[in-house]
Amino acid sequence: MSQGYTILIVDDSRTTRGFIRRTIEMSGFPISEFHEAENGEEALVVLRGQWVDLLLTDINMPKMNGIELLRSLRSTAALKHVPAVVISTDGSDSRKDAAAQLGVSGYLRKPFAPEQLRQVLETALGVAA
Amino acid sequence: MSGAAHAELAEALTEVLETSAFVTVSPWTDDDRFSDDVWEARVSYRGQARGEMKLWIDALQARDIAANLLALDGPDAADAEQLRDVVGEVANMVCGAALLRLHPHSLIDLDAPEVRPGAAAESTAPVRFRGDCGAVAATLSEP
Repeated sequence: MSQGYTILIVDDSRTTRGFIRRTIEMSGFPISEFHEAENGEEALVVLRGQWVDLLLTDINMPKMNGIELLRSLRSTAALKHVPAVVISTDGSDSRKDAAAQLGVSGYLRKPFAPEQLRQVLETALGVAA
Repeated sequence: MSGAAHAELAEALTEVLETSAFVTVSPWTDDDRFSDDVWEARVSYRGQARGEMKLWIDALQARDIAANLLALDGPDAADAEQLRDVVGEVANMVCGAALLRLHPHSLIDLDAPEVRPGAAAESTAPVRFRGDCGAVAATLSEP
């Protein structure tokens, strides 16, 4: 077992990706490597070429949004078991339901504290707290 | 918007600044002022509710938030693109958090934030706070 997990962060904002990385680091969650993608299309390229323990994705992105990415993930045999967590400013029940129907392992509304993010990561990866 | 709606906006702004931006928020006093260097962000939204939220952040406060969010070496380390993105991200989070309080069961889409530096803050904005490094204000309007 490695010393930490490999996380793919998918968001069209470089700043937001940096903010999420920073928050994960602050949470103390063990990370071995971060990968980043600007949209769903880029995320699929990363997922086909790299081992990823968990995917963190925004919903609203150009080219391929988060919902389309999750659909593609679930219909691809080699990728369907990758746990996915949605991070979004939209905390409405309808958005959460749409994500839940695509088998996400967690849904985190922004803003969030480092300990909230850590809890979601631990739950999604089945890690004992 | 009603006073209750502005109270929800104030809660949303406080939540975002304290939880994600690590800013200590203090009540606005008669002695508080915006500087002449302010960032403005507008977020329009549409769907089962529509309207616009505006946010103003003193430039020094925006630099402090950028350093906090991105683990930069200090407030002066942020470049213009990072500042623009950070102000937009904060506005996006505040608008989303306010709409969840105001319209918890509605399906609403947020447009990408429009951010510009050098703005003049609205002195009558109903929601105003003092952060660690400068003033922050917001308003929300629905037709």
